[in-house]
Amino acid sequence: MTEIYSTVIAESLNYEGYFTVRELFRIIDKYYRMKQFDKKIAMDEEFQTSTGKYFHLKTEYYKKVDSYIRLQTRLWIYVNDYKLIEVESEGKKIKTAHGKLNITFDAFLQTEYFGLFPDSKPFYFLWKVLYEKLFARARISHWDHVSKHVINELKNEISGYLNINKFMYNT
Amino acid sequence: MLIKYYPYYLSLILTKIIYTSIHIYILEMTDMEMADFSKYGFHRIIKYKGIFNFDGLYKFMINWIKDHDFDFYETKIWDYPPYRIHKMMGRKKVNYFAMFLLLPELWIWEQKDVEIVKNGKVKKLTEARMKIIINGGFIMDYDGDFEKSPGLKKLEKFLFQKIMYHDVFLKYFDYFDYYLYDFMTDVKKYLEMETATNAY
Repeated sequence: MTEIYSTVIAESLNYEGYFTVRELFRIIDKYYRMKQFDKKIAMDEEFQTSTGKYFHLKTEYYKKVDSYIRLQTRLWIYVNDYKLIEVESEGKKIKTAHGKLNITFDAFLQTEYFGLFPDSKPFYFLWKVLYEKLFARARISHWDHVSKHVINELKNEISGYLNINKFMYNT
Repeated sequence: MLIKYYPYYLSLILTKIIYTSIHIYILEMTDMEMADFSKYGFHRIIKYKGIFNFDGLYKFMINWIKDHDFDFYETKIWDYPPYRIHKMMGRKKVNYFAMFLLLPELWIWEQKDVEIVKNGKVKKLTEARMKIIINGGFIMDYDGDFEKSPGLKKLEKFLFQKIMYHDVFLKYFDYFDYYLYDFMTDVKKYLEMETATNAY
C-alpha cells in the first residue's frame, strides 16, 4: 500500500500589500514547470464581495521521480480584500492590486505509488518496511530533502516577488 | 566498497523482479473488458461569483468545443428555480480507436439580470453564483470492433494492456490533460478571472 510521508507541514506565508494574483500564479506555475512537475488544479474560486475580490485556490503539483517515489506538493492560496488600483512610481502609472495573501505549503513524499504491495499480506508489509527503513533509507531521505528544498525555493521565489526579503542580508 | 553496498543492490534487484511480476499479474487481472479509461480522466472545478455575460460565456464554450473539432451535444438542461444546470458534451475521434470526451457542466444559482453602463453603452449582464465543472476522458475502441467475439476481446486486452499500455496513458492521457487546461484557461480568460494563466 502507498505510504505517505509529510515532509513540510502547513508552512504559511502571510502578506498584505501590493501584488497581482495573475503574476503570483504565473510565478508558481513557471517555477513548477521549470522543475518538471505535473500540474493539477483541484479548485479555483473567485468571488466578488463588497470589500473586494476573494480568491481560493487549491493546487497540487506532483512529480514521479522514479517508479517507487512520487513527490507531491500542495498549495492553498487565499486572497482577501483584493482591489485593482493604479500606483504612481517614478512618474509612471502602474496598474497593480492591493490585498491580503495567505499561502499554506504542504509537501509529501509518496512511496510505492502503484500500490502493488498491499498491507493485507504480511510478507509485503514486512518487505516494504525492511526495504524502506533499511535498504532504501538513503534514497528516501534524499528525496525527502529534495521535497523540502523545492518548497523552500518556491517560498524564496514568491517572497522575492513580494519583496519581503529586503532586509535579509543587512548586517 | 561493493561488499558495503551489497544488501542495497540485492534489494534493488529483488524489488525489481517482484515488482515487475506483480505488475504484469495485476494488469492481467484488472477488468478492462470495456477498455474505458475515462475513470482516469480530467476533473476540474471553477467557482465564480459576480457579474458576467452568461449568454456570451455559453456561446464561447460551444464555439471552443466546435472550433477544436469536437462534435457538440447539449445533453441536459435542468431548470429548477433556485438553480440551473447545463450539461454539454464534446466528442472527438482522434484516430480509428481512440476518442476524446469533453463533458463541461454549468451550475448557476441566484441568477439575476442586471444592466450596466460600460463605455457609455448599456449592457444586459447576469449576476450569479456559478460553478463550472470540467470533466473529460477518453474511450478506446469506440466502434466496438473488438466486442464481436471472445477472441477479439482477448486480442484487445493484449493490445491495450501490453503493446499500447504506455501509448494510451502517456500519448493520450497526458496530451488531453494539458489540452483541457487550455480550455479551462480560456474559460477563465473569458470571465476575466485573475488566475487565467497557464505556464504549461
